[in-house]
Amino acid sequence: MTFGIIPPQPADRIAITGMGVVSPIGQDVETYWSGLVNGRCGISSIERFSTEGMRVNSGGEIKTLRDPTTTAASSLPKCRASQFLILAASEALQMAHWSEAPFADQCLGVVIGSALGGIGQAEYLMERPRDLHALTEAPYDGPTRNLAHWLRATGPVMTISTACASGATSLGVAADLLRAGMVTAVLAGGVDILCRFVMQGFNRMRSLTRDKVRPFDRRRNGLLLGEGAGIVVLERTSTARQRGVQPLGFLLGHASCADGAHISAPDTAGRGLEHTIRLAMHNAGVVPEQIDFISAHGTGTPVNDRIETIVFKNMLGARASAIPINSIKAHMGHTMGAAATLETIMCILAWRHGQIPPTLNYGEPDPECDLDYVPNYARSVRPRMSLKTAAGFAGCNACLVLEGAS
Amino acid sequence: MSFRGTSLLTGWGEGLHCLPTDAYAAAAGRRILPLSTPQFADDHLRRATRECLLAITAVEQALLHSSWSATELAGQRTALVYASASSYVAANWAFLHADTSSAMYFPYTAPSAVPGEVSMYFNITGPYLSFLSGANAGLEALWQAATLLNTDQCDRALILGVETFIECEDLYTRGRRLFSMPLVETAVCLLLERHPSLATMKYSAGNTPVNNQTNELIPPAMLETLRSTPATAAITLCGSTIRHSCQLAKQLRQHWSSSAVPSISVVNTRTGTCLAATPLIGLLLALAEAQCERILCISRWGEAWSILSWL
Repeated sequence: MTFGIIPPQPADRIAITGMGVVSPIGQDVETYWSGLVNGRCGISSIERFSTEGMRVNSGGEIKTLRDPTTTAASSLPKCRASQFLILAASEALQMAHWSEAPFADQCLGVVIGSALGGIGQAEYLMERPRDLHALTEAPYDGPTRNLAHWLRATGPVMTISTACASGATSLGVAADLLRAGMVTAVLAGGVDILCRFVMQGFNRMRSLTRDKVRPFDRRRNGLLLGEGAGIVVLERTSTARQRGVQPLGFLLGHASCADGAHISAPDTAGRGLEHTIRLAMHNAGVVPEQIDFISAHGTGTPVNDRIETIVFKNMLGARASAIPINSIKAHMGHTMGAAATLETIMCILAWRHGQIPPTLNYGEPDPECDLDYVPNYARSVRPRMSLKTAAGFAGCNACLVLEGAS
Repeated sequence: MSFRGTSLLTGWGEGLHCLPTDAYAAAAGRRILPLSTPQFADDHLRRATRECLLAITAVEQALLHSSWSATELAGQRTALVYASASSYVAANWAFLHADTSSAMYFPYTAPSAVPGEVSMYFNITGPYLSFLSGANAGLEALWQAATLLNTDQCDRALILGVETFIECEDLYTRGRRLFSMPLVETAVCLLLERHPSLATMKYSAGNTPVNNQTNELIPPAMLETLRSTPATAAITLCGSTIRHSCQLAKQLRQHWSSSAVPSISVVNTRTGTCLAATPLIGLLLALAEAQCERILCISRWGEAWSILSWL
């Protein structure tokens, strides 16, 4: 193999020093982790908007957003996605021991991935015609700009969209900014909210299940949507050391590649995903034998889970069946742009706590999905090196190679 | 720097030579200068939206210019980096208003649908991402493409910008405070291959609130970046509106410490409002027209700004 970047030296590795979560099973990292390992389900009937006329009316909805504890609570924007981001960012910054805004003397970047951006806010505003002018302030990059404004960030502010892989791609772009020396630290992550718009879309595509979400199970027949935000603070290891902060983990490598196959379905042979994983591992300087755990995209659709299984076997050979693989989509639904970041946080927490959260609702093995999916109960394993895979509409694939910090 | 191939389709016509010297005057009161919808016989494109077809047309024309074949573009060694601030609006707007029996616009509501159709049409399976950061997205896409090339993750990179407006004319009219007229539909494509000059590309970006009291558009961090710019450089400015860019140019001239001020051109006065495509056009204009050793392309969108410097 000739492609890829030269893996960075340890001092220059991209460290994760803070994490923040807003999810249907917990609105802080600790509660989120407890929900994951204890198999809490955050899926319920949707109450925030009407689902009249839809086949499915449940999802991972956050019923009450926690009260912000930040000094900027009164200045939270009205946009729900922006609120999610600010709450998650606030927790991540606190964990990373960065003092709260302003960051005038530091070059703090913001890179956010989203599949929907401010569309939920646009939908809300459209119901109030007198506010129609404000629609032009609710585009896809609206939540990112609101977060940057709230942070008074002085570094680059970028909005990325690779559909439901956005939460992984954004972390990769943030790592590129750090490697280029353009920023001191980056708040990177993903966000999306449940709204009628996206529920209608998936409903019309008949992608949503009326059953439970059952990743990798023979009975799986679709996904459910969820909402949330995940934010990590990324900085060079040398910067973290200078600040006296211990990294939680490292982002060793990343890649985002195209399928070039179909607008709403993955390539039937998983070629795009396989190339993405190979490129990410090569960029990280990691070989398959080093992988301890895979956090799969695992949507619970018949096609996705089968193809991911094929790709993992192609990548890992005989070792594939010895590596634990999980999907946490059954806990809280598919949180779209937030999913890959929330799952990245799960990988780091799995290393720290020595436990892998289960794949819920798994009961009947599928001959085509015959790997170890950590069914139903958390497992006591400490996975140092993890792969995080993600995929989205329009043939988007992304992969992150993560390592827990000692 | 040399691009292997480029293409430019705008509401003014095809190519740089169609751009007027004064977009506002040339628009003669028209709010939007649309692009016509390309026609394809390919059945695979029967559901593709207008913005997807414009993107494919732009890539085809850049390929013609490059003398590469579509076969050479296919595969894992080509990166596709997309930039846009508006192309998703039409499909999203239509879906928001669609009757419940139609799934026509979903998932074309996803901004990635545009590069998605391009990747399928040309069978591009290499690095792939989309930037949606308003007018700065064009320079972000250029930086990312150069990063992918410099790190050997691809052999060639396709940078694509598409902006469309006509389907949502009413919406943009209501938002004219943010989107000054004329809005000019654009599809621009740059084919970049690995070249020693890529190593000299410098990109910097930041976020600085505008001081409402002084209306100062140039933050100290941006000035710091510009301070070492020689008088022989060409600076090309791409704001979110013509007025905004002209203000930026005026302040930039005032800030220059030496008497030898580099040439400063305001791209929006030539193009109109093309959002993320503006800096890509600005770079093409500077390459075509400026006899200089360095080009600085500056974009600003809200509080965020980007500077791309290319020797």
